[in-house]
Amino acid sequence: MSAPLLWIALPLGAAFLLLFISNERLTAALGGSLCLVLAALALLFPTDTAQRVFFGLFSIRIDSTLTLMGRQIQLTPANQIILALAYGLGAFWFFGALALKTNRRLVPLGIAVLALLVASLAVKPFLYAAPLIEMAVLLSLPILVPSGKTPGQGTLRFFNYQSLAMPFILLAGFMLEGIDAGPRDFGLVQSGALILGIGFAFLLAIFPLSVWMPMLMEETPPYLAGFLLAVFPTFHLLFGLNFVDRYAWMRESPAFFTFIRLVGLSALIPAGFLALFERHLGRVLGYFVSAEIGISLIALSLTNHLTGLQIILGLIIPRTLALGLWALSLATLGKEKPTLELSALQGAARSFPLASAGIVVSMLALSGVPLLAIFPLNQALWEALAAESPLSAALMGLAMAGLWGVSLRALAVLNLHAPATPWSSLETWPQRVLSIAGLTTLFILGLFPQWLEPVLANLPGMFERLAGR
Amino acid sequence: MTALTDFSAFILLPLAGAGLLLARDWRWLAVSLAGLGLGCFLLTLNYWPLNMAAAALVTIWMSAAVLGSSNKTQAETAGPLVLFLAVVVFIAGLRVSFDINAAFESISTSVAFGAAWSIGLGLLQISLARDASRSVLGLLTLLQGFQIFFAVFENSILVSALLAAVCLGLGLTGAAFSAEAE
Repeated sequence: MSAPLLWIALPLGAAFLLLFISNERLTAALGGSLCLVLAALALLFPTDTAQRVFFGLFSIRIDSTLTLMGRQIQLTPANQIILALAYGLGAFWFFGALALKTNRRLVPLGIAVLALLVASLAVKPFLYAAPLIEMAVLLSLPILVPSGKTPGQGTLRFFNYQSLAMPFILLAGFMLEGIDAGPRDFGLVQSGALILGIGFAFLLAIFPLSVWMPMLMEETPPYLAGFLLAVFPTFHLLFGLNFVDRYAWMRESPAFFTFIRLVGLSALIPAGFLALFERHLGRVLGYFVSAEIGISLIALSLTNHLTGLQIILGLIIPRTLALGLWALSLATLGKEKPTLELSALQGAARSFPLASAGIVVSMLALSGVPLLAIFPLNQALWEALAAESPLSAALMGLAMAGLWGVSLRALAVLNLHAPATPWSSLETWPQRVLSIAGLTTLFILGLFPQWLEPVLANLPGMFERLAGR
Repeated sequence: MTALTDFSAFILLPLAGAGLLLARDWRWLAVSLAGLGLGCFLLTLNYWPLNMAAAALVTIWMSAAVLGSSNKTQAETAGPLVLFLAVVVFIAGLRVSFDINAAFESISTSVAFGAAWSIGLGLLQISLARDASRSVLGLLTLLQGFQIFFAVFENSILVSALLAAVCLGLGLTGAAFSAEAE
């Protein structure tokens, strides 16, 4: 048995079979369970190591490498935490779909998207990931656009911008392939870097190319769009880190990291500013995702690359959790309310207390508010950034203040009510359970961030050269 | 032989591009895309073996066929402004092709022009597209242009297989959206 077969081919096959099951609950339960099992296997069975199972009666060894058409697909032990995170995220989202009885296509196509994105991390040379990411984008479209409907402008832009990234990145990669160690040919490096920059600007939706994020959240069901906005930027960032790790002329150039810091700030500041004036809570989520991409890029720009990597990778779990809880809560409110405009959600906390709490706490967590999950990492980033560039730290603070402001505004509006309105909880039991679990975890990870350390300790090993190990 | 194929591509690509901008009927749009694919195939032959280039050609033809047969509505033709922009793209493509030829000895002017023209035309179509099918048409045009450059730098079977899968996927996506629109 080889790891790519287990964590890529098997889920792809299962996703195909799940398409034929018409029962929504069964699909979500099967898909969620499969992801949970794959995540557990990733944690328990390191590749290329023989493991005794069934009380030592049998020995199992999962090979890390599969050769396909002359190229290698390789899932090393360093990749396995990412595998566990990816499929854990899938399980979280698909069990959430069970609570929401949402689009049946989310589960099978979501699993296929995850499998393709995992393949994008596994393929060697890593450059070949670009077409795999494009395939994942293509598969994600039926999740967003229900049968019989035409795609809206946000979906079209998502499709166009993500698709445009692939050829640019692939071409830049081919051009730069022979230039690993140093810029022998400055002209070639310059053109390659420019093309690569254009590709990643599209892929990571750097302002103003981020316009599709709020549009997508407004025009498609928030739980479905939220899944894609949680998954794609995470894998895109990992793909980008591969480039920085690979090319010495990139990771050893201070000018490159200054540029990355500027790009990060140019993603974060407009997102913080625009979110402050936004009245649609779904669109606000889009701006928050854009801001999170900016934060990760700023972390990448830190002089101490190991700290930067630890922050970027450490943010994955709490960020995904916060986005998941936010999307779940929006979907819960969206089933009862005609729109997710703030004006339509006045006093919603009285009838949907858990969903409202889910929205506000997630927003506050993503804004980096103390006691919540993301605060310790944001704090570390802020401290390191302030030591290197006080101006950048101040600008980051301003943008975060914008995110904090819109969170407090949402808190105020959701709690506005007519005095006689009684308290009730209109959420279903599965929605309540998931909301309480999400809220509790966000607080626990904020209070005990060290609990994540064992999970994240080996992650920078994926990028050995950048981490300086 | 190379000069003949390059010259044929040099004639074919602008004609196919004009078809992509001016045709209203989706069958003609599909034929134009197929013509563009043929032009790119002729240029890719300079770098890829015949079987690999032919596989790429068949893929784009299949995508064009799927896209053309699934769209029953009339597409919008390009207005005078778009045609003017297309002429600008054509001239820019010619200009850039000399620079590319100067920078990379292995890329002839006609190959560089073919790639630059297809990429420019694809970007023009995408930026003007109001529906998914038109977007897909633009993306396929753009991808054909990039494929010429890919052929210069890389001749891996896996890359060509992945690109073929992306091409087919794009065609099917465009077809699915057009069917849903109807």
